[in-house]
Amino acid sequence: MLIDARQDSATPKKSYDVCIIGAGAAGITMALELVDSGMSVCVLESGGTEFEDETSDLSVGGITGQPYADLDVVRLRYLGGSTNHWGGWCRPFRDIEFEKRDWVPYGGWPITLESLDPYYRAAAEYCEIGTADYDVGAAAAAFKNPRIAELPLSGSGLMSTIYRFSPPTRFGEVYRARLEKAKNVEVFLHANVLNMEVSHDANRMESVRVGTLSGARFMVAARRFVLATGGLENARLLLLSRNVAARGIGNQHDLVGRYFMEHPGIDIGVFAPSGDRSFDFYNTRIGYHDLGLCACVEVDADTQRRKQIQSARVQLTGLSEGENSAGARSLKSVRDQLRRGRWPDDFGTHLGNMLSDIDDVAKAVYGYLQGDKSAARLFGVTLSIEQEPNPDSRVMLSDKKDAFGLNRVDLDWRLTANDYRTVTEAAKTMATGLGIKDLGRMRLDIDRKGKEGWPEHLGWGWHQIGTTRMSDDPKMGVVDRDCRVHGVANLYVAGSSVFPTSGAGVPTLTIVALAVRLAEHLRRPIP
Amino acid sequence: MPLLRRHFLSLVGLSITALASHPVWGALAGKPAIPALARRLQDALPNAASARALGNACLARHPEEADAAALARQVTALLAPYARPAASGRELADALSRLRVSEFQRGDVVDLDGWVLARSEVTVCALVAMVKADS
Repeated sequence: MLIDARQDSATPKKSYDVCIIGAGAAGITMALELVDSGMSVCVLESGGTEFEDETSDLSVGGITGQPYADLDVVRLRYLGGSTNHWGGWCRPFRDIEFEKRDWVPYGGWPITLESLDPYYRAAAEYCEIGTADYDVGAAAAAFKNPRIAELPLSGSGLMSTIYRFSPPTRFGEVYRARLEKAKNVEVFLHANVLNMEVSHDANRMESVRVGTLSGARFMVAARRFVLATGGLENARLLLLSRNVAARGIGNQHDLVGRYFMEHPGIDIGVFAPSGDRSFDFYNTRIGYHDLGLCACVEVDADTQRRKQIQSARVQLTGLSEGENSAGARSLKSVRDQLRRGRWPDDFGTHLGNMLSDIDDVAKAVYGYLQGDKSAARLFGVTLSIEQEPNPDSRVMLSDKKDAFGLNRVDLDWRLTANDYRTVTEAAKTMATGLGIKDLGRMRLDIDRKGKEGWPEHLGWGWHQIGTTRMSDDPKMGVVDRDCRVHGVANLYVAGSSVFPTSGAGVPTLTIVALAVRLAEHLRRPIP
Repeated sequence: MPLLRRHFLSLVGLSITALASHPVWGALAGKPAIPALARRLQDALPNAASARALGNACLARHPEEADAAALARQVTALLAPYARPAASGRELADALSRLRVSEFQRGDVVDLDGWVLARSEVTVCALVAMVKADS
């Protein structure tokens, strides 16, 4: 049932078995998993069924660290949450990303990746990708097309992985009808949690105070609560709720909001293939639009261990001839800056480049590699890395207030020297690895003109990860392996904020898998 | 990674030592045989014009390396473990490929305007470019 909390008739029950705060991928998945469970479920969603400026304004926040997208742009606040602008990329974590690695302080998950297998299968259904199989060779073979083939990377320090594409599933649209029909689930729209009320000793959630922008106020009580509002908002709501625990709920060890991670994306250069081999399977343009999946090249686990670097993957994007020229790069730079709402500082230089000639060495190299073919084949190479968990990269409460008079959020996104070393070592490994297999040659061109020596146009994955991380040790994590907040018996957290590491992949499939897992936990009787 | 003069000088030294045990390859590196060597190498590459362009780009950035005899000695020293002197065109192409792979495996690469190339690629292309320029 969907209920508009702004209506006078919107009256919650006296108490629910489960109250889920947030109706994004995690919240909707859990609600659906609890349909017909015999439990009464309340979902509180800040927005309505469509984008609304006034509600979106609640997500505005400050950025004090590395440049980042505006916080009301990078996340969406209506039914379906950020799935409303999701690109649909799906892939589970890799084993090494779950392991405790000596060179990644604060790394390691308290659960095994294997334990998530049944939940990844369920997540594949929710994300409408049809299969939980990520075998690269089998996926390529299924096309029965010689142009779709896995690269022979064995022994090069590299490996292939595949990403499957969801349509993408807009959870609020695709699952709205099921939520409306669910007799035991009430979804309150335009319902903003203003405070999380805990017992006097702060070890038990009692209720949440809810408000609408139209002025309505009410309380929702439940036996158990799940916070599922995203990587920034999960931390914010815990920090805001300070009327009993002065540092916020679950923050006795000053961990809430820390370890913020994204997926830094860096254009590292171009790749010119040798000979006639097809790279269609690895070309994101073809994969996304035509194949429903795309292969990427990653640094393999042995090389990660030997070089002591985090995970790193590259995406190849086919360029048409001339796209690699200084002029084409300038055009891309100008376009990217305008997309971020900024006028390019060095527009004059870019304009000059755009009028200039195609790079002579690039033409020579790809002609040398590809024989006498007149159509040059070049790929742009974008590297995306796993960020090192860093307690100084964090989400905090801002001094600025929102329409409810509550502190907004500030993001101080920080990267480390290890993160940069992962970039440079991964880039070199790509260049030499592709050479070892004589697949082609790379031109490395990593800009360092941005903040703290990072590229001026550092990209990101639109992922907010790690701010209520999972650990069995309450001094190292906000939630335990069941995603329950340490020290609070009946409060759980869902979403990528519980990830202790980010991997180099994409989080949505794992968010949904963990939501299925948490719902299974919630269905068990309370001891 | 950048191709530095000291690398060339050290390779020249190694080349001379290596050639002591390869009298036939050594003869091929002699002055009258340099054009023939360059032609054989050029024929073993996918695109002669592009190889020369690549070689010219390298020499433009490192004019101190523009010494055909020294380049020829380097190439013959590098190739000696991979091909017999009378190798056919196909055998030579295969040898160059195996040499490149070995260099990438060892990390013996050079940076040419950001392009990560095997050392022998740059040396061969530079030689091919020089001989064409001289002819």
